[in-house]
Parts: sequence; structure tokens; C-alpha cells
Amino acid sequence: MGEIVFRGGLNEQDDINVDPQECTAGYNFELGIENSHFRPRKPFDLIDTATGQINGFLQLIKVDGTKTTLVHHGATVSQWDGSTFTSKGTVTADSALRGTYWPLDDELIITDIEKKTVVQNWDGTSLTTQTTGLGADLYAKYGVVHLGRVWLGNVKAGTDTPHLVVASALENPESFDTSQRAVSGTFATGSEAFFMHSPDLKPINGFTVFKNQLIMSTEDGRLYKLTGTDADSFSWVDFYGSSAAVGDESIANTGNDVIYMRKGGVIESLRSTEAFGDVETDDLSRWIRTSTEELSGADIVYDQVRQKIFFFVPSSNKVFVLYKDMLQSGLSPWSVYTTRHSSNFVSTAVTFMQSPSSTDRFVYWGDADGKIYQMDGVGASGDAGDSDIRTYRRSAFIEKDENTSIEGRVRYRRISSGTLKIQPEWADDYQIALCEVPLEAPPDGDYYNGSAYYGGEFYYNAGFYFSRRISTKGFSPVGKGPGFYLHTTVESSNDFDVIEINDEAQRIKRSSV
Amino acid sequence: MDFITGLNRLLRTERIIKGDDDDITTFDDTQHQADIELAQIAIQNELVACVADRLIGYEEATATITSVASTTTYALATDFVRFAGKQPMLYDTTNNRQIFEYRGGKDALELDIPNYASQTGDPFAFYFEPDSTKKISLYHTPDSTNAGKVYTYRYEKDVSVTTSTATIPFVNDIEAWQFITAASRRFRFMREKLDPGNLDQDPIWVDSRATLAKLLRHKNPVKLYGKRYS
Repeated sequence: MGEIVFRGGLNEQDDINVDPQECTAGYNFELGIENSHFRPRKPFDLIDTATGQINGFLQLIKVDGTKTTLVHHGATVSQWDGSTFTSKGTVTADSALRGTYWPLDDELIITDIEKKTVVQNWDGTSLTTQTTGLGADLYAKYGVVHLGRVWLGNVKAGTDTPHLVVASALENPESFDTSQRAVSGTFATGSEAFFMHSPDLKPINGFTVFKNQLIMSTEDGRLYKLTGTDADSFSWVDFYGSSAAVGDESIANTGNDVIYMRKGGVIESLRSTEAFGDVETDDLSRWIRTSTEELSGADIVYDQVRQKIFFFVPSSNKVFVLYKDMLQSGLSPWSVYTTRHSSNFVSTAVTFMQSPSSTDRFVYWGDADGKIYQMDGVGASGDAGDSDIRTYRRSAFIEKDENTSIEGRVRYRRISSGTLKIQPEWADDYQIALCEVPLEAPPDGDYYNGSAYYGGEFYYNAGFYFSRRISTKGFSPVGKGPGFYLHTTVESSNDFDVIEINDEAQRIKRSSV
Repeated sequence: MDFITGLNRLLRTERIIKGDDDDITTFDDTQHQADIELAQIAIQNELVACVADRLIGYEEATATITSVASTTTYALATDFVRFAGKQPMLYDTTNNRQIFEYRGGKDALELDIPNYASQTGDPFAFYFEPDSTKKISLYHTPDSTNAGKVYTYRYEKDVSVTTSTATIPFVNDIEAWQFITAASRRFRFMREKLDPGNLDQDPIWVDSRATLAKLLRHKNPVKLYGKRYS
């Protein structure tokens, strides 16, 4: 008996390279190393709406556990508790603020991707301009904390110097120096502030810390990592040429790796790049090159809780999602999220942070209308509470032993009602017949209310006795041929769980095309 | 038993519908579309075989034609197969008058009365019209005086089934069940692409047909055999 399971993700390569458990097209399906079912992604929830475009999220969690969340919307930076916005200051309207935690003073150092707002400071109460010790206002695109210093990349202090990195004095973020260059400058202790420029003098477009290494990317240049221990010894070591990230926020620390997108939409693993150079082992996008080859950047955010790496691409109305736990499975770890909601995943800011009102952590994103959304939501009515989710997969090509039709059964769990649309795209046939298989919910039962009370003949949750029971439905679509692609679709705001699809008439075997 | 009920029974017999599957409610159901289409054909073909084997005959029905001034040709009932009885006849219930086919039909009428088609008056015969649908024409063509007459006729009607609500032509359920059993075997032969010519060697199909034939007996079988000695 042939069967189709759904363990693998999207694989756009030639049929010969597609595992039967993967799909050759699809979106909005969930993956996981323990999952082989056809399941939808969770909906995203609309959490709140601010005035003006959402330009950034910042969150300070102090040592004592005190948490403050800032939202940069329009020209305002407000403290947000999940339902109320309290203005804490104004900045240039089209800035895009980003924060990095400075542990010594338990505060955020705030930079601006657009370099239109000077470096700020948030201590949990007040938003102030960061003291820098420079004679001019300091603007910085990127900021990280590394080896006890605040490092600012792609800066402007009077003159715009996008290729420049300025590092604060050791343990003192209020002391910067744009006159003393690392190594060649004059340093008494090596703890002084200094500057460095990118070796290729190209603008810096990526900055992150990974395993106690500072990684920098330059525009159309390459990746560099910092070596050395103090102002007298710091220098940049480069990776191979054309290894640089594209876009302004296309590099992200994912715990045990750094993922970045480079030219041509190639998504790479820094760890593999470092070990193997520019070879296919480091190309994480090799399964989905057709979809990513036109991309010129993405906002990358890593969900540590759910082990998913999101690539928000506003220009494509999609979010590419890499399931980290699938990377060693040999199967494609990719899904693609789309939405029928009016937001269309056109994000203006993304982040991974704690909920303002709890300690749960999620990916949040905002849009041009001031709306704030939370991925992996709990809503029961689809995306943002009003849009069904269309979950779709197209299988690898499946050969049939003879020129016969399909006589199949769907095995699923009773969670909620819906319709599974099965469409075999037959070779040698012009039609794609539609077969609608109803997925049924558990039957109704008695619920605690009115005359139904716990005890006696009623028991709490009696109605859920059949919930998640395994059930089967047969199907026999018209058409036949030497093989087919199987399209499976569910459009619903409800959860569903299709375990497998069997062809009882014929053994399904992997295509030998 | 209607067509869709019989089809559901066939699909359950053949384990197409099983477990959690619901009955088919419409022939447009896409979930089992391929099997529904095949099952419909299997039932229809089995019905044809039963009629051809004279297991069941055509059913009798009545219909009417109402004469219209200057209208010669009238359509017969859509399920008309042939006139019932020994002789085709239209009966004018109001005037208690019978109208029979013109002896020799339209060909003879053409030769006997060249201007038959333009003669009007009180119809006293009819003839068949060779057409793609079943029609008869009245001779004479009714005039205004003779318009509005209602002619009744008995006919044998087609017992085939096409719509989901069409009745499978068996009087009671056990006959219909047995028929479906035979149709199920025919369905299996078609589905598995076996030679339908070998159906009469399938013991289950043969047994189903034999049982159906016994059920369709109109009279009780004779209980006594041999001579009675008074």
C-alpha cells in the first residue's frame, strides 16, 4: 500500500532530487522533526494598533526582572504594556530604532538603521540621547556589545562614514573616539575607545556577535570577523570574497549559527561557511532557490522557543520559514507563509521578544498602519482573527505501476470540521480533478452548563471523548495516468491534522523520471 | 428504493464507503467521483440486463394529448417506449371514442389521401412521425370546433434510472437489495477491469440473479405435486 506523509518541507529542485516526503510547491504548512503530518501553521494574532507606521521594537529586561517594552511608531517612541502606548519621546519619523543591551548599566543602547536619529539610551524610565564624548552628534546603524565595549557600525559623527566602526572605551559606553585608530593609534592601557574601518572600505551592512566573535558584513564586499583583545591588537579577518550579506538586516544569530542572505537570495550558514567555504553545504536555500533567487534582502528573526528562523520579505508578501530542527534530517527544512489577511505580511519591523504582558516569547512584527502582530498566535478565527489560512502542498511526482486511477483513504485526527481538497494532476491528462474529502469534528457532547453538572449522568468534557480520535475517509478522484502530482489544500481558520494519504489501489512508488 | 440509495448500498457492499465515510447525498459528490460514475453505470447496465432477460418488464403508465386547432403533431410522454395493449389507441374520454393508427401508417396515408396534411376537422386516426423524439400526428388536423379534446393513451414506460431520485423499478426493498447485490458484482468487474463477458460465470452474480428471479415471481409456487386422489 502506497502512502504519502508530510515530513519534509518545500523542495523546488528537479523531481529526481525531491524526496517523496517533501513537497514541490506549498505554503502555510507546519514542519518539525517529530512531525510527519499535514498541519497548518498557527495563525498570527493582531495584538494592538499604534498611530503611525511601526518602525521598531525595543525591550529592556533588567537584572531584577523589570521589563519595559518600547515601540517606535511614526515619530514617537512609546512604552507599551500590551494595550496602552505611553509616549516617552519623539524621534525623526522615518527612523528605525534598534536596541542592544548594555549589562553593566542595565540599559539599552539604541541605534537607528536609517541613521536619522542620534544614538539613544533607555534606562527603563527615560529615553535620552546617549552621551558619547564626541563633539558631534553620533548616528549609528548597528550596535552590539562585545568584550565589554559598545561597538557601533556604519556611523555618522558630523561626516557620514558608513565604513567605520567605533568602539567605546572598555566598560564605558559614554566614551567614544573617532581620532584613535585601532593598533596604529596611541593607547596607554589598550582600554581606550578607538575606531576601525572595514578593510574593503565598503559600507557596513551587517553586525552581530556569534560565539564571542564579532561578525561584520560589508555591502557587496565580504564577511569579516574580529580578532584581537584590545585596542592595540584588534583587526579584521576576512572570509571568502562575495560572502557578504545583502540588505540592512539580513544577518541573524540563531544560537548555534549565524544565518545570512547574500547576493542572489542565497541563504547561508556562517558555521558551514567558516568550515567549508563557498560550497553547497552552507547554502541553506538550495531547496528553494527558485523562490529566493530574486530576493535582495530579508529581515531575519530567530524564534528560539519554536526553533524557527523567519525571513520576512515585504516585497514578496511572503515569509520564508526555516525549521532549525529539520536541518540535520536530510529533508527540506523550509516552509513559506502567506496570508489572505490585508496585511499581506508587509512588515516594517520585526523582532523576537517577550510578550509585554507575560513572560512568553514570540516573534512580533508591525506594519505601516501601526498594527502589531504576534506570530504563532492563539486566535481561533484565522489570521488576525478574520482570515482563513490556506494550507497547501503539492507532492513529488508519484508514478503508478499501471494506467490506473487512485482509490485512496485519508487518515486524520478529529479536531474540527473542514474540507481537504485533493487534486491529482495527472500526467498525460489535461484536467486536474477536484476531490473534496470532509474532515469531521468530534461529535457534540454535554458541557457543564445549566442542567448539566459534574456528577450524576454528566461528566465534564464528555463531549471531547472523541476529540483527536483517528478517523479515515475514502476518496476516488476521476482521471488516470502513468503518474501524478498530488495537490492537497485546506482553507480554514480551524486546526486540522492529516496523518497520511494512502492509495489502496496501487502501490505508490517514487518517480524514476 | 431510489437510485442514490441503491448506489450507496452498492458502494458500502464494495467497501468504497466504509468506516467514517458518510453516504453519498448527490451524484456531484467529488469525494468518490470516480466510483460514483462507475457505480451509476453498473446499476444502469444491470437494469438493462434484467429488462432484456425479461426478469422485469416495462411499467405501464397513462398520458394525454390535448388537441389544438391547426396543430397536427403532438409529442408523446418523454419516457414512452411503446403503446401498451394489443393495439395502439387514443381514447377520447369525453365523447367515449377510440382513435386507432391509420392502417399502413404515414406512407399509406400519403398514397391514399395526397392532401392529408392540409385537411382539417374531427381527428379519427393518427400516425407515427419518424423523428428523433416520439411523436404522433392526428388525421384530420383539428379545427377550432375540435380543439381542446383530451385523448388518453396507455403506454409502456422506460424503467431506466438517471436522476438520484429516480425509483429503481422494484416493488419492495428485498427485491431491490438483491438487485443491488448483482449490480455490485458487475461494478467490481468494471472496476477491476475484468471481462464482463465472464460475469455469468461469477457464482455470486449468478446466485444473486437467481434469487432475484425467485423473488420476482408473481404467484406462489405450487405446493402440491403429483395427482390428488379423492
